[in-house]
Amino acid sequence: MMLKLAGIYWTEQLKLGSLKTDKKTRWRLVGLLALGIYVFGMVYSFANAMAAPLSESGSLARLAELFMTAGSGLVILSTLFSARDILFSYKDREMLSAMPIKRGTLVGSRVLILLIYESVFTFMLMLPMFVALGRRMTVGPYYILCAVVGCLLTACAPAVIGAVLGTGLSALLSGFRGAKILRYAVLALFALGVMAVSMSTGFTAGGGRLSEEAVGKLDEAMASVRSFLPTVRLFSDGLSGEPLKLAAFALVSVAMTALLILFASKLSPYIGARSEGGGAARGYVPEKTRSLSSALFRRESGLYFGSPLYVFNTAFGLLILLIGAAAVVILRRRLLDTRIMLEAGEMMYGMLPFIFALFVSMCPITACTISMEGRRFWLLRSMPVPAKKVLSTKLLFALTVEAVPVVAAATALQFTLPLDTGYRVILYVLPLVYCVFTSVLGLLINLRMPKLDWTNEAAVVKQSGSVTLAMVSD
Amino acid sequence: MLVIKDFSKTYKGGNKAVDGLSLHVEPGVIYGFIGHNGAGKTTTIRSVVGAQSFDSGEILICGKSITAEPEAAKRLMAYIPDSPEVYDNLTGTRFLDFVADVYGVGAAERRERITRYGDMFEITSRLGNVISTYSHGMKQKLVLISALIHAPRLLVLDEPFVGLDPKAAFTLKEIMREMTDDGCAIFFSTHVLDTAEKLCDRVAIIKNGRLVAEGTMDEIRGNESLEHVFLELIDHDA
Repeated sequence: MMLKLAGIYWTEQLKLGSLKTDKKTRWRLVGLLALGIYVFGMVYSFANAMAAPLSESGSLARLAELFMTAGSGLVILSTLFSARDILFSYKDREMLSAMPIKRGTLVGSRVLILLIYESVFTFMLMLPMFVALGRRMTVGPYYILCAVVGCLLTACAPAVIGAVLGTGLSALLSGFRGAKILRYAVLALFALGVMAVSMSTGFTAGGGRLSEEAVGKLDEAMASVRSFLPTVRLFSDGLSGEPLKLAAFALVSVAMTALLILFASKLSPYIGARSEGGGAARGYVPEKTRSLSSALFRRESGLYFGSPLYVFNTAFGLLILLIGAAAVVILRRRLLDTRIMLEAGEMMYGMLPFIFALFVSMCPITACTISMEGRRFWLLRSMPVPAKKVLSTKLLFALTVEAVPVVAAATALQFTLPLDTGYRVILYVLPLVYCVFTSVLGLLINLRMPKLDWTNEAAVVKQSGSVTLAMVSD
Repeated sequence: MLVIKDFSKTYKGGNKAVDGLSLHVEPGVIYGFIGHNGAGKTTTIRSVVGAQSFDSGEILICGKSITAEPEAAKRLMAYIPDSPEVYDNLTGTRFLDFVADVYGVGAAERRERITRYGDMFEITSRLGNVISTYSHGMKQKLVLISALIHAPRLLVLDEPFVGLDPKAAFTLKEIMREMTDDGCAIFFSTHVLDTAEKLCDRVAIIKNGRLVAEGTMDEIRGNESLEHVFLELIDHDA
């Protein structure tokens, strides 16, 4: 039954029911396949480039550990914001709850849906990594077993951790006024912590042999990750030839998932009641009148910031950009003194606008802005507002959200790095032009590929074709 | 007030939802639009309010074409859909203020109307709450208030009584009558033939996208009940 429920969800989301009759659905699946191949190629190239220096330094096994850590970090961050909605706040919850289905089965199907969402991330990272690693290691049945287990189960433990933390925090804060802002703040702080751990494992795979000091630092950083996510260590040891550790990894992953189902089904009515309860009655307090443009802009802002899932999935790149800029300002003296900065010199500074652009491309706000209207689209369509006005407001809002961190980061770097006057201007102009380009492109793609009939925001923000296409196009 | 001339709409795949429909709703009239499931009622209503395009024909609101002058036409009417899908993350107040801003309703007028209709539907005390905490009926009431906030000349409603409690349904009927007394027009679809019989001045019965009967209530039902006439028309040629 659990599989059947998850199956129905995915059949609905991917429109598999109309696969035989609808040409568009077939093309969408072909597009997704092509995209999968493209991402596989990209990650494979990256993994291959990283494998070379690790191989020469005799620490090739670290590659799987690094990828698993990165994948786990992504899954924790993603589930922190999306788990509550996927597990407890779906639109057909009432209908399904009224059916003679055990609560555990229903929650289990939602956990399965969550795991499938998250496994897409990890699968796209782990599979190409195993192929790249296989070129330098002996590939036998045991290696293939490790690869299958790694690809299928990497998402389990971090998804459970993210789901417990994210849902628990939402439930705890739901009674407070301004709970949403608090939730953002606490989750952002936690996200920063996870990123700090992940970043501490980073190293430059610039070709050539890694120094002993670098390998030592890498081991040190890995140890901190292992203490947080023991499954990474279990899998790494398993891959190094310890079948018992591999079995333990699989067992722990499945056991954590089972525990999540158990606890979530126990807590399901409570969390449902907390999120739907509404709290104390608050009456009508008149607000000031606004112009049409201002009202539309305010509506966009309400819809955007009202959805943590939408915010997290589209503002993640901007958050990293801001953190990066802050780090550069704080560590200015140490950075300028390091050899890397002296040697990299102009080439590194020349990359800055493109690094900004990379982070902006991770923010497909407009690529799902029309889809996010969902079944409420009737409202805009029946109002005396020209479509042009609605679209330009959506564009303006996205540009505002993107431009503020870009300008702030660029300004921070102006005062930190020794740059030419012309280059200082380019540092503002190029990323801002790119913001306009990505926003317009995202909007055009979403206009061509809107998805209005959804039951869960995750289907639009994380899974829709327009978002994927926009990110790849960027 | 509302003129529909030779209106036709075909969906993708060749499904002809409405075929050559013509209607005229005069000011001061409550006009019932009746038909079985899939007859084409919602398709017609969505096209009237400009929520979807159509293949041929013309729809005029107070003489303004919904295709040629959509903003001007929409400004004169309000629409209430069969399912009250609104912005769950906004508060009721913020949603109503947004609608009032779009229609350019002044501060004093909006305050007066929101409190008046809010009190009538007994929802004023919850307007500061987030819409996701509302029940289906409360959302329905909120959408009703948002439709009335700019004092429309034409009110278009799709199954308006579904989900409303008896008191709210009674209040809505009172408001509808009040509006028509002031020269406005109401065009609404319903399955509740009893309500239509008591409330409507004129009715149109649609079957498989074609108009099969139209006239005043007395003209349509004669000596029979509306339910009897409707069933006879629907079963005929079935």
